[in-house]
Amino acid sequence: MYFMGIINSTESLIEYINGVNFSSVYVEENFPLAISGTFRTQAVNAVQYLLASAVVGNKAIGFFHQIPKISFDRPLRGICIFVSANLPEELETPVFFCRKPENITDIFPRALKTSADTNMPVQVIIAANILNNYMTVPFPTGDLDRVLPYLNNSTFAAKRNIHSTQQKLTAAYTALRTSIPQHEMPENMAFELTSEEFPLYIFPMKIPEQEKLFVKLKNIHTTEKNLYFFHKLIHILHDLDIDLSPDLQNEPLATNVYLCPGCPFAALYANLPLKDVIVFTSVRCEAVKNLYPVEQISITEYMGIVSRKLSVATLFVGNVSEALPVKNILLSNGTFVLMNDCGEKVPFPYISGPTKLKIVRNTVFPYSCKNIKKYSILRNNFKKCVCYKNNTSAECVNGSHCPAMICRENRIHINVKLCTGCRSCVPYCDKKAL
Amino acid sequence: MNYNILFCGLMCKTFDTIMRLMIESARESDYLVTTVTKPLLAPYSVIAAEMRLVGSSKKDITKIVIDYDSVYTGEPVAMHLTPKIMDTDQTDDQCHYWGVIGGLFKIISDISPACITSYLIDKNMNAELAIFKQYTIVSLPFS
Repeated sequence: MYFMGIINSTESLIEYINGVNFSSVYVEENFPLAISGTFRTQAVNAVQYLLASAVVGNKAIGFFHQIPKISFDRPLRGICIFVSANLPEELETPVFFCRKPENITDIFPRALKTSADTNMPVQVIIAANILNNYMTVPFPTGDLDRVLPYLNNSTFAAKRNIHSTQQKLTAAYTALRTSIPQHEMPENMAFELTSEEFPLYIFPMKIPEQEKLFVKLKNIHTTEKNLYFFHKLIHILHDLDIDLSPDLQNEPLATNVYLCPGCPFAALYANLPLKDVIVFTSVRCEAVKNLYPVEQISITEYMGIVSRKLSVATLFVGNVSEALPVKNILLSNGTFVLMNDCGEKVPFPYISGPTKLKIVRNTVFPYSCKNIKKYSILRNNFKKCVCYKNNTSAECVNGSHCPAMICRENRIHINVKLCTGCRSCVPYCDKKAL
Repeated sequence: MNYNILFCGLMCKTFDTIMRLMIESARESDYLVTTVTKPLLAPYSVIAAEMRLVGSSKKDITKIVIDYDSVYTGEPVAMHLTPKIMDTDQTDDQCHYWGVIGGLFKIISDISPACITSYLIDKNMNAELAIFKQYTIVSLPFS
């Protein structure tokens, strides 16, 4: 929606991406961008999918919470872009950084061009500040060319020539410097602080022009989780003496955290006794990670963990689609709650609704984050709803983290447009008002 | 005066419309406007954006929190507008968003509410217009 010359950066980005005619689009589950991918898989496999697509000449783009390691040994005929909101752990390909909304319209087209020029995948890191921000300059029209994919017997036998790759990278860097000039970095640099300087792009090799940018740099301030990336950067700039200090803390949230209405995790934690259970999940959701003590791993890793019986109780929460390749060897040592995202069958009992979860055991949950089901909407007995009247905190709101519950006239009201009837709030109300 | 206004709410569509109108209104009143958004944790999580208005070379900055759905948990701020403080009820159709934003015009009196008023008239949003007008003239506890 263009409105009074003020454009929402997310809408504009989506419009641009749709305009570029990408053949392969991957969006990791719960990535905060309303764009649908053409392929659903785990992030590690998605990298291979996008690279193979670009090898035969397609345009490919992937959105990841954290970009996995990119290993590629074949030259790309098409464009391959990896977008993430977090700094990568590796510095194997050119990386572009978008920290201010006014840069976003320059960075994306240049990243596409760099990928085409160097026959390499390119990473674009968008800071949290980029999504849902406001800007006045729209994206230029996307590159509307459709390239026909090309495949013959030797396409996947061809290997990347390191020498020519370095030449291409240097040429691309020089061309980029003329179109998006970068100024010298001061003594201090930080990606996480918008007030501090940070380069717009970094190439993964020794380029004298690039090194000149960092000669004054003495300190890199960062958080613990981004240390890997900066170690790699310092390795590239190894003649320079730079102090890397993990002295920044993640900014505390200034607001309550809410889950999606009907969130499967809210149902799990409301209905199951999970106090002494170590919960692992493959679902990437920042809100869930903030609220519940969950460990992020894949189903394959979990099967490694429970390959022998453990002395502690564990639970793995994931999607049915992830379990399909290993459904015949799902081990008895672990416990699985698999969310039904594809309608396929796995050898576990299926439950009809979230409230049927009572004990921790192998179960197929009726829906996943992608296809939350609606049940009959909850009602509130206003006579029994007295928490706000008595000036006490409402446990149903605090415990379920559901955005469908609002306070009106000192009572809890259920927003019928949002409520899915999952009843995850019910166990928290000791007055039996819900 | 300079202002740092943190907007936070749950309903992205109305939030987005009001943000655009506020940016336009502040620019028309010759404020230098920059916006910084906070990460969206989940599709229905709280949307938060900070609007920095620079109107003078003085270093004083007035902090304001526009808390449409009573979701703010950060450091206490003297000027914290919530539906409860504005004495309005949270509604399913987000009418209260317009009431709360009405209170902001009471605090920053040199920004004209004309942009919002004309938008609401243009879109035939009469209930929203009524509540917006009602709260642009209401007396706030801290004003």
